[in-house]
Amino acid sequence: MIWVTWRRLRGVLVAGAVVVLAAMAWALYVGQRAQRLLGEYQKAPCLGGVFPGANAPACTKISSQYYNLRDTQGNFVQAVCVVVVVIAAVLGALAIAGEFDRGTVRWAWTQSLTRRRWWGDATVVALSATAVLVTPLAITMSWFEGAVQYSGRFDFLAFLADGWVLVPVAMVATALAMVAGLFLRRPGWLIALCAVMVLGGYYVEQRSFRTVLLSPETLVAKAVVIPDKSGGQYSVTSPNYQSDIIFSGPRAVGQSGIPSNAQSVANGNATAACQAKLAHQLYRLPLTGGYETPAQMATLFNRCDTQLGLQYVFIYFPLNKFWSLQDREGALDLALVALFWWGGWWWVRRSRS
Amino acid sequence: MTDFAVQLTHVTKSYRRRDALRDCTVAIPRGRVAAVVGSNGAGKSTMLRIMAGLTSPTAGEVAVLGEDGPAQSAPRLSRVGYLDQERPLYRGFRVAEMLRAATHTNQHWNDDLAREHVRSLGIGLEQRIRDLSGGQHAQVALSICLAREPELLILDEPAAALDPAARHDLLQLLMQQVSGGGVSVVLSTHALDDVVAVCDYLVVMAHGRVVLADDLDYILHSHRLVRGPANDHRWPEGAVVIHGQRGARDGVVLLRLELPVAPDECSFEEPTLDEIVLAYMRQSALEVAS
Repeated sequence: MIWVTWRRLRGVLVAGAVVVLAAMAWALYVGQRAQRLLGEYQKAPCLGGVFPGANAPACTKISSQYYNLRDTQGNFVQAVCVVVVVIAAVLGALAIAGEFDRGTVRWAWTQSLTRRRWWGDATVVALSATAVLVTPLAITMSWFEGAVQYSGRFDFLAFLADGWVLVPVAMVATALAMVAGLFLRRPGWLIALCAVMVLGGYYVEQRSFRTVLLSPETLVAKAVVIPDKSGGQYSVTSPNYQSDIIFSGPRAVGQSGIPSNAQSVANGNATAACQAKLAHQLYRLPLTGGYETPAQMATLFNRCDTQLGLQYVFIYFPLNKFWSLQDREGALDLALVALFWWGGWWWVRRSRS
Repeated sequence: MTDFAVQLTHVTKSYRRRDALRDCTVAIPRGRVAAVVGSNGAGKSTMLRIMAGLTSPTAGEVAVLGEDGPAQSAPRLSRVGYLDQERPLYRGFRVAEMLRAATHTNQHWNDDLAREHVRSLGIGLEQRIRDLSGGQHAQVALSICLAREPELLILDEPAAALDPAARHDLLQLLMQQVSGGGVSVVLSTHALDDVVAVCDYLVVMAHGRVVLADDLDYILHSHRLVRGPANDHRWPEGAVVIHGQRGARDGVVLLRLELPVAPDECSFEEPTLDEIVLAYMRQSALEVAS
């Protein structure tokens, strides 16, 4: 049955390979161009900036070329993620639901092989095809994201396209389409449903379950004044800009984890009221608000936190947790694939009709 | 039990809102070509699918070729060839690829036989299934069934929607295969001419029930038509009225007699197979309506 399924899916595989090759070619072309522009921009005479002088127009041009190129790549990454999930769902849907839709399951189920074998062979071919198709694209996209750096690595679809998690997510789409195809036997609807469910599920997983997969780090922020010629700049100590910030705001001292929404609102309101009141007491500013100097702002920030028993925290994943998260999310997705596969196998084994 | 190709005992198949089969009991001896006839929706296809192991009964027992174990076991499946009513084949495959698919999915496979059948029908191995005519499609499907060399062939309306020539070719191919002996065939059909031509056992179904199942010759010889008013004839002793009414002036009644038929009963008219089948189906409709 392995050959039969492979032959049935061959057309989709060829079409999918063409799409994947096109995406890889585009990613390589744009990635190399972005790398070249970035390299030019960072070396002398621009040195990553635009300095007054004879080279300023050239540096401005390189800079704008690079940023224009970079800023348009979000759509490409989104398209790649959606197309990969759709191709994966098509493979899963045609492997199983396609048999029911065309009635060929009545041929397959009356040959000399058990239904378990039919399920096993068809699903192994579909899942392998997905993995083989998506792996080179995932590698290329991972390089592309490093070259173009169009967004933070933890962002929703950027995280999916970066690293290796694209492969297991695509396999989840295939496995879901296969098991759902046992019940919803119309491939068209099934593909749409699976693509939406997988991308939606992945979004929910990223927003809600990342902290279950891996403990985030906590940074207690302090307001500081960075000295400069104009009297200093107000700033709050914060994680590296490439980190994935899950929560930032005041939290009770001694509390662990992410505060609830109600707690966040209450803490924020208490802090604002405290700062207004303290500004009035210390600096004679009106209670309705006024302009504080950077040093005054830092003082208000830090004293109110102490007074209210709060501390301003950042809960986040630093950049060095990227691969740990990739591994754990990938493992979770592979576990889902195994669960879906087993569910289908169990249903087929006990199916009576 | 081993004398029967298929034995169904009190088999019922229920779907959500209706019973497709109701308490069906039938035993088809080995080596026979049995026809299952009945109106649309009588339960023929459901019965054949149960025999093929494609679906399971809600109640009752099924024994195929003496085995009453799991219908979906590979050894049992390898002994049964099934041709579905819709003759599902992979439409994107070439004929050669379809044969290769069958090679990969069957324990017993006579590739020479399959290729010879297909070639003898003038069907090119490189033709795509989707490009075949209805008759060629059916022939390829039947060739695959036959090349598995099963002990039991189950064919759901194999000649349906075929033109007379294709129908003739298909039945001829079937008979050539069966004439070798050892193969039992159960086929459903609406064409009673085909039944007379190729079958020697008959199962009549109506409204999900088996209303008649016996040797075709026995069925033909054990039924008589009585025409005319009620006072013309008396029923022979032991005769069972299957269907019909006789009034004061006219009427037709189908009787089933015990064989051998007594000489005086030979004066009754011998019915055609159509008349017998119709009488059983109409009587069943009356019973269901009442």
